[in-house]
Amino acid sequence: MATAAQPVPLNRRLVTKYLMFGLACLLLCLATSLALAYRNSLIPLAGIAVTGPIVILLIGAAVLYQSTRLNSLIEQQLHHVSQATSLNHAEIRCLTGSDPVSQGWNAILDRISHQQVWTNLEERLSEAVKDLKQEWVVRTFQQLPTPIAVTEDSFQIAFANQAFEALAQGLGTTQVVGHSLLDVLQCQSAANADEITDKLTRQNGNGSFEVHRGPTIHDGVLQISRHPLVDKATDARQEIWTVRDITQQLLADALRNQFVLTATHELRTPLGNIKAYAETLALEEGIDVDQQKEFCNIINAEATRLSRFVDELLNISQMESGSLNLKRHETDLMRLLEEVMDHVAPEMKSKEITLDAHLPPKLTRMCLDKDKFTSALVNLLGNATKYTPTGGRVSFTVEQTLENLAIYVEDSGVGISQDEVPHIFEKFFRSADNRVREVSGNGLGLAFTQEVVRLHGGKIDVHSELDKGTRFTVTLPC
Amino acid sequence: MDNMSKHILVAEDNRVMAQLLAFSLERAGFVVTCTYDGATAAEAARQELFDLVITDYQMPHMSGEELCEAIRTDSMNCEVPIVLCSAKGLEIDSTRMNEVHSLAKVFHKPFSPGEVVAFACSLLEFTPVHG
Repeated sequence: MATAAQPVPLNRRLVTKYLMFGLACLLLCLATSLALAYRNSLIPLAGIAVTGPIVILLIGAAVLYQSTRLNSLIEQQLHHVSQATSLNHAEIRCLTGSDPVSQGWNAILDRISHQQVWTNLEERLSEAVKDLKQEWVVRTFQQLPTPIAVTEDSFQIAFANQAFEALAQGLGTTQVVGHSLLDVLQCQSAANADEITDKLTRQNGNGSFEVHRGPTIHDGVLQISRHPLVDKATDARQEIWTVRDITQQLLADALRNQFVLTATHELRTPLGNIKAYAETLALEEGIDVDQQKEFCNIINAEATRLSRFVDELLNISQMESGSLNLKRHETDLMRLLEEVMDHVAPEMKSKEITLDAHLPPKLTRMCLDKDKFTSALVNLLGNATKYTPTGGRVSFTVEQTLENLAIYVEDSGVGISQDEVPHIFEKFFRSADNRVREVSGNGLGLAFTQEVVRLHGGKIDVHSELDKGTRFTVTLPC
Repeated sequence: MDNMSKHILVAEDNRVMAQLLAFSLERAGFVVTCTYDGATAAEAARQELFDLVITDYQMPHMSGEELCEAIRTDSMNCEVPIVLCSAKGLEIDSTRMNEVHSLAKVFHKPFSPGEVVAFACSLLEFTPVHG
């Protein structure tokens, strides 16, 4: 923009007008004087009439010039301000002088200067905060435990957080930017490149797919989710990928499904048996009395089996909700142990299993929840019986000191593999061993036993060897 | 009706139910061989001729479907009628099972032993001794 011409300073304009006015007055006086001089009557007066006004005019002009000088300077500064794009670019100078106008002008300049300083500071602070926020966002993104990556064309990774880079360790690098998402997923997957490419390209828009690390769920399963991103300004398309380890969720689902199947079987089997035997007794004629009694006993046994299973379910439900409470009373320990052995005796007899019981001659009474502790020990002895082949041996040993009660249940059964031992106290867990699967069970007994022992202030340990047998040790404080 | 001795093979891992089935069938006059798992039943089918096989679906060692396949391909009982007993709600493709193994009947548990006896009598044209 062309700068406008510098205006004539105020004082000069005023002086010019003043002088022009004065000149006009002087000319009038001169004309008058010449007229009088022509008549030869006022020659001396004419000289004074001309020189006097001239002198007065000149003095007046000087005073006018001086008195308007400050205003003129201020006008010049204001002109600079109007021409400049900002106050920073305007050449504004302070005025010398101690008069009120100069002081006022200088005060204005001072305040403007301070304001500029604050404005600059505010701008700098704002920039700094913006940088800090951006840095905070980036730092937070990096620290997120969920692996996240952003890809551009052809699944090239443009950005990834640390968790995502950890997934790429199989690539031999932690810098995944520039690599293909396909490469990162392939090093986490048992599938081949074609299968993963198919999964990646099949998705449109938001979606997810699974990547299996191995042949079984236990090897690990990742859920890969895709979220398209479009930059409205540039129309560039990117995609955000998040990775979630869903192994535990799938294992929990599998366990739950297994439990439902088992529970259904455990409920349906005795119910079906009861129905079939009751119907036979009701509809068939000519069944002899001994046979009828046997059928009634079977119905009774199946009903008891059903009832016991329902109790186990209730116990587990209470465990889950944390409401499994003990009702502890002074208990005759010897009588409790005999009750436990009586409970499993029929099954042991049917399988011709020998019970080696080693009990001290005397046992001190203890404060126990008799029903729950009996159930817990029946679970242990019952399992020992179930998983020991016909003709095997089970030992039941009890030792009591002043401090502790120790109970050992040992069998010569199928044993438990070392990788399954850590899981046997988990609810619904059942061994994958076919020999265990053949035997009916719901995976709840040991979980319940462990919880009862824990609530009594004790602990339970297991030692097992596959094909040799298993030993459970229960220790309670006296 | 042909009332010569008819031999039925029962494969059922639920011993309580297996014993009742055997009781009901024997009471009707059939000769019953009772097994408690698929593998034992397959071995029995290789050794002996049967007029009817009644098998559970879910069994240890060998399932009911695997038993059907074994009987149809590797036993002297390849033409024997087979009755399958399955738990209601279990995902079994009955149509496929029928086509592949030519099942005579599918019973869903809980079923009545009387129904099984009645079906066996009808299929084998057998007059029951009792009932």
